[in-house]
Amino acid sequence: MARPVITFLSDFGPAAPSVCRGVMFSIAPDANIIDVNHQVPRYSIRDGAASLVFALPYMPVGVHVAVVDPGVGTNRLAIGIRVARGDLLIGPDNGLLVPAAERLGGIREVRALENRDLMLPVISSSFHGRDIFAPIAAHLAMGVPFERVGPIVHAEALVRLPSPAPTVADGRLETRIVHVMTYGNVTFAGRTADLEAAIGALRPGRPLRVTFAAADGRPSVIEDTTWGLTFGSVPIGASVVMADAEGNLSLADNQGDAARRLGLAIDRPATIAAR
Amino acid sequence: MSRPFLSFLTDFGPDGPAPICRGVMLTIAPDAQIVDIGHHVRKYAIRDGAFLLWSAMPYLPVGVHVAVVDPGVGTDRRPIAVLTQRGDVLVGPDNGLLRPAAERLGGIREARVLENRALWLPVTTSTFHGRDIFSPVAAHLAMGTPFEHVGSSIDPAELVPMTMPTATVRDGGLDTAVAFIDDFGNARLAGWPDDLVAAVGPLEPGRALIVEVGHGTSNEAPPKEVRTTWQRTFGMVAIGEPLLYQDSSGTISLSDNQGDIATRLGLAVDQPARIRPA
Repeated sequence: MARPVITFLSDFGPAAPSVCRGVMFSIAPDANIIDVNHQVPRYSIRDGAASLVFALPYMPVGVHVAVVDPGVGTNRLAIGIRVARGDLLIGPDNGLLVPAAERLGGIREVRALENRDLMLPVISSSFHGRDIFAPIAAHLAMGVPFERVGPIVHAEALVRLPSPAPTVADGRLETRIVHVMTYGNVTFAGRTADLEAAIGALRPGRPLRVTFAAADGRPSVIEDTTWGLTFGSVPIGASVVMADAEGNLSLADNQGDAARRLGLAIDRPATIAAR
Repeated sequence: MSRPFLSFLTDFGPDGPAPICRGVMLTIAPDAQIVDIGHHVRKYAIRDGAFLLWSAMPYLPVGVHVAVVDPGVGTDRRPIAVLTQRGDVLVGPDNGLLRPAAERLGGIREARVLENRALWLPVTTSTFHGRDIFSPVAAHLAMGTPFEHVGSSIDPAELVPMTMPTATVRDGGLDTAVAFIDDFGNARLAGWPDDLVAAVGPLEPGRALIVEVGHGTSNEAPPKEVRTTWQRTFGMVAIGEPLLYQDSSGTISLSDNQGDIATRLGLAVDQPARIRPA
């Protein structure tokens, strides 16, 4: 039998996840635990959700634990979601899990995590990753039936993140930054078709202007760039707008860090136009 | 049967992309043992990646080794796999990254271009071949897919070369260069202790030597001189003092004991250095 797969994402940073791994291995000694990402910016549910959407389609079917949980210990629910692909997603009910659940074929069943037999004997109010999510995920990976975790919750009742959508305006696409990737590549809301709806057909080399409005005390930024198919289609250090590995619009510097160069962060409004 | 072995090196950094590739590999090869050589290679630094791969290879089991430092992803650079004399397969871009490691594993027995889309993910992008091409091909190879299935054979002489700095004995000294700077700031130099012996004579612990850095035709700055000694290991000199020694790869290195000599002296990869008697 293949080893049970558990994937694990958090905003804990490099050291803290080992405790949760220990809890999971205590319950599921042969588990194959894949650390998806523990560098999610602290408390950024949006970044955690984006990272899960990016990663989970490429993970084996299994149990996926995600903990970006600024509301730990408050009355926010702890939940498990069963999705169409057969995976189980475990974490807080704060919107973190829903986009990835939809990417894995959609939500089939949601349950509140309430069965204390599947949690650690002592539960703190500040570390549910260790005390609730990790042990429940490990028990599920070992074959405990999903219905044993707790009662059903209506999917419509789940907390959902606002999902920014681009707006096609006259000769421009109004969008915003939804994710900043490890190389400093900036992901926008919207796909190639959205930009084409705004400015017409895109061919490599077409000149574009991306304008980032002033925000959070940062002045507005104008970046003159071109449409391309990949980083190497422009000189080193030059920027390019393209469809990223997920098919979303993105701005990148070839062998550089566009986010740092331009001072960009998640949620910054952006306008993409022809020039 | 033992678990299929894969190793994995990239410049992806600590978050998302490397684990995604791991997920792809484990979907195809659920029992694979995947060792992360590291994902902290300086971004886009093909040479650094090649050095780290070269350093690691002798200590890894025979298996499939995936390496991705790939600034040319999606351009016309070829994705390749290289079968080595030791029996390993190296998978990655044809940009020189795999060459020193292949030499370390006895040399190239056969090289092939990755062309068989049946071994790739169904959808491939132009920016993430680590996920879409290299990881699935590597996992299939680890599961026993014959090497010749990956694509057509190419002459190893046609592969993009990788030039690493070399050491030359000249006028009673050794002309060398910084080959790599590790996380501690240790400067790995080109050349082996035998080269240094040929240049300056026997190396007894405590032997006084001078390292000139920044010396070279391409560098207008006057050389900096470091007075140091040949030693067996870091702790043979006072904290903060420099030393020359045979490092864990067998080559010559320059370090400060419990310090960061690369930062202290502003060293960079490829910077020329000359070692001579004090």
